[in-house]
Amino acid sequence: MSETVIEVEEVSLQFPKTRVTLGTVESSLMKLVKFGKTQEDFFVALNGINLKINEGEILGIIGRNGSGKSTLLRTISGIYRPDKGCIRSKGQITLLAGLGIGFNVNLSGRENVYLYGSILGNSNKVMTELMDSIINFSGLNGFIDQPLRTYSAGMRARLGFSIASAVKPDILLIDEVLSVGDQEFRKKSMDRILEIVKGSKTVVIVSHNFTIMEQLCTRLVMIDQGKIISNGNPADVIAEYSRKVN
Amino acid sequence: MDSKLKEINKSKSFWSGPLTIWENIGEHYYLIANFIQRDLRLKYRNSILGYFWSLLEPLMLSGVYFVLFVIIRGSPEPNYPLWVIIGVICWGHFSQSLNGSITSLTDNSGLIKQVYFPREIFAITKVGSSLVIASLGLLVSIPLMYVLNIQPNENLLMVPLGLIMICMLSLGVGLLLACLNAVNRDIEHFFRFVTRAGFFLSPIMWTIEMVPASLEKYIMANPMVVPITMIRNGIDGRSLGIDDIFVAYSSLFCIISFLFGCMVFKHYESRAVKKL
Repeated sequence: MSETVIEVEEVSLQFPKTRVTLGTVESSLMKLVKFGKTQEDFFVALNGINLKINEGEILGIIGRNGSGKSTLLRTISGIYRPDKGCIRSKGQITLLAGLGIGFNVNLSGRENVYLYGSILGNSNKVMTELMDSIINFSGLNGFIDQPLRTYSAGMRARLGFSIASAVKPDILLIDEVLSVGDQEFRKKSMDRILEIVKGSKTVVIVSHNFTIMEQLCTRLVMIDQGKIISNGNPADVIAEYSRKVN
Repeated sequence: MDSKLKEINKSKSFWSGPLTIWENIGEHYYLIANFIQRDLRLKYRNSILGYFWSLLEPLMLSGVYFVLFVIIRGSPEPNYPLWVIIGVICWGHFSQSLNGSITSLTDNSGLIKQVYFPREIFAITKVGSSLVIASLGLLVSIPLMYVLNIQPNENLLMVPLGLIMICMLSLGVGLLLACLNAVNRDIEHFFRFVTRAGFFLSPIMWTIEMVPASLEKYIMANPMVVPITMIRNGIDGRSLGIDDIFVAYSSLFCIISFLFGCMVFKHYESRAVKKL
């Protein structure tokens, strides 16, 4: 029943450290002088991560800011290629991060549905079929043909979540976007996630909202400095996290 | 769902770049189409003349160059305005495609870091939308052909060939430099200058017939000379009038830079993304 759908094996990833250089005359001159002499520093974002995620699981990832949670999700979704190790997966993976990324504020809501849909890997035909359910779910019926710049931030986020979750990927990765919209919409999006999971799909969530995480997740993983330091039952991992923080 | 786990984002051999890009275009053609549509819709939004700007722009520019030419060289041939218009449109297509491809990673860093899809799509979209704009612009030559009493003939077939060469060249060089530009932004500034200077080194205000024979082989080193002349002479109903050796050189230059650009882009893409 519970097959492995994502297998993260010894994944390490490091970023070259770049100092912020403003385009000032002084910093440009410094760069020219040091050209070719500076040794690059690296920041280790992921350090030998091993993780197996099974079908139908709702896996939560917690950890402090900058511990590598989002980088891990991005690496799984294919944005970064691991420096060492490899990630194997099966099925369509959709990463839900920064809702409304890829939206264009000058296009209408409807046009953005097609645009965002195709960014997530779906043809216009599929999006046309899903259009009604997306509009209904987002609750933006009266606004859908208005340009997006007239939307509030919450409305944009609702539209983003509605599109991404309507597409029903095999594996949904959610990065810190659960708490979008108002109370009512939050409830709806929780139900939607549960629905996705019930269809024996897999969800991985990164969030700082422990209440939601404890309710929703079947397993939690805690990451610190690019390493998994705890893996197991949600209540236990959260307890360990608070112990570590205090 | 197939039952085997597949490695995602696997690194492939350097030579497979063009093939990978070809496959990605096939898988994501609707995304490319949507992006091109977005570019076109947004370009002329909130303007009364809309798409007519893509006709008016080269038309007005050529007016300026025409006056300049008359001042410098005296009265030109009757077809000269047509040549300038076509030259301006072709060069606009090239410089927009090239500069757009070079900055394709840096301009879209927000999107690149949040969603995964093949990144060459950004550059392909830029080239595609500027090709559409150039093709629309070239339509302006239809009434001019009528006015100048030019009979379209089989030379017209050179027009799509020339456009394809420009696309390949700009996409190839653009992809080649896109990754480098993510590391070092000097590239985009330098190439914005190159496309400006190249305007005068390409047959836009002048034609190859005006070039002294001793300078010909230096002028021909510029791979844009052949495609621009192909498009211009094709519409003007004349044959190309360039030695085969130069045509072969230009064609090979375009094809090789295209293939090499694809390889380099696919090879360095993942490293460049980390720098964004």
